[in-house]
Amino acid sequence: MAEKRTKVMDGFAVVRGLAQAKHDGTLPLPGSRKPAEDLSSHPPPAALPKDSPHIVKTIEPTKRTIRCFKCGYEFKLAGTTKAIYCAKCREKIDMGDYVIDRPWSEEIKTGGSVIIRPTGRLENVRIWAGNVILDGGMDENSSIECTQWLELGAQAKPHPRQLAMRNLRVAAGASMAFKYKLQVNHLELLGTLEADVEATGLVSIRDGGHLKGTVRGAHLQVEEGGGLSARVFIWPQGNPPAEDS
Amino acid sequence: MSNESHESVIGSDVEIIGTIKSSGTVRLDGKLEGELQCGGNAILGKSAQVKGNITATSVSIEGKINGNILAKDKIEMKATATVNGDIKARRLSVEDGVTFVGRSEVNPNSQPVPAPQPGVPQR
Repeated sequence: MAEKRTKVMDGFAVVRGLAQAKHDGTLPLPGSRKPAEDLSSHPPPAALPKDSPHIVKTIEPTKRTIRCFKCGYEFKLAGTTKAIYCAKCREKIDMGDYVIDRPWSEEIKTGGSVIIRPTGRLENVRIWAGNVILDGGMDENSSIECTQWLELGAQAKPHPRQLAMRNLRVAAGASMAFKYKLQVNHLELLGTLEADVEATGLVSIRDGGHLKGTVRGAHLQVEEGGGLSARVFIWPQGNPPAEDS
Repeated sequence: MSNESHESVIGSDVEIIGTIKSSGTVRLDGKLEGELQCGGNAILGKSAQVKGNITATSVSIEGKINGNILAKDKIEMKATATVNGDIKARRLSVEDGVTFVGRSEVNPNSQPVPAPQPGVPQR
């Protein structure tokens, strides 16, 4: 990309420029004006290429919602950083991402992401994270708490009581059953979920996804190819009506 | 309604009390208090209001319906649709903004829904 040259104008440069023009005889007389140039015969300017340095592209950085584990204060964070301090209680929040592909028993507390691969396994450990992708195993003494998205892969077979999340995504090929009421903000299904779902945000069933049980909320979206075998109470206007016995 | 055209249209200023039976496609923009049985597709416009069951090959809903919907193939709910009843079909498509209260039996991996039977009881 060509560097943009910036000409610095200061008093000395102006005086020197005028003196040079006077010496060269190009300095216009006081009060004289050059006639406006007729541009009608000039060809139209060519369109600037898309990668021209003269075009300023504004790309907003990705914003993430961070929740402090100590005081619960939520705030937005743009860009990436390794650590941040809570704006309210000044608690340090680790923002690193972790990948677990072996048996793991060390506690993780991060505002970033944790990925548990099929070869990974949580053993007697508690995970706090912004986003978690669970595609491995976990024993009955482990738990996961997400402040944002929890994605369950095909290899994950957790007990629902071990999970706490804001938004839930069931990946393609995964099949989950929740005997307890599932309260989430957003729910996205590419696999199968059997649950009594109560969502405050959008329930989205993608092609290949299937929801069984009961679903209550304000927003429902079903792609063609999605399955829905449930009692449905979708009421965008507010509180849904009481279900019939 | 034309006997030769493939689509029968019921305008928004029409109110029908009774049963509508058609072997082709029916587009309903008015009010219907009764059943709608189509051999083809049923299309409910934004101003459509139905109190009764609908049975068709495919059903597209933009208006309001208080009743059950049985489709041999597909049910499509647009953003302005309000459905108060049970639905059963092989395929389903729902846009965000739909109001839907009832039971759904849609499983794309299952066998096709059998042909609609006359006299489907109301909910």
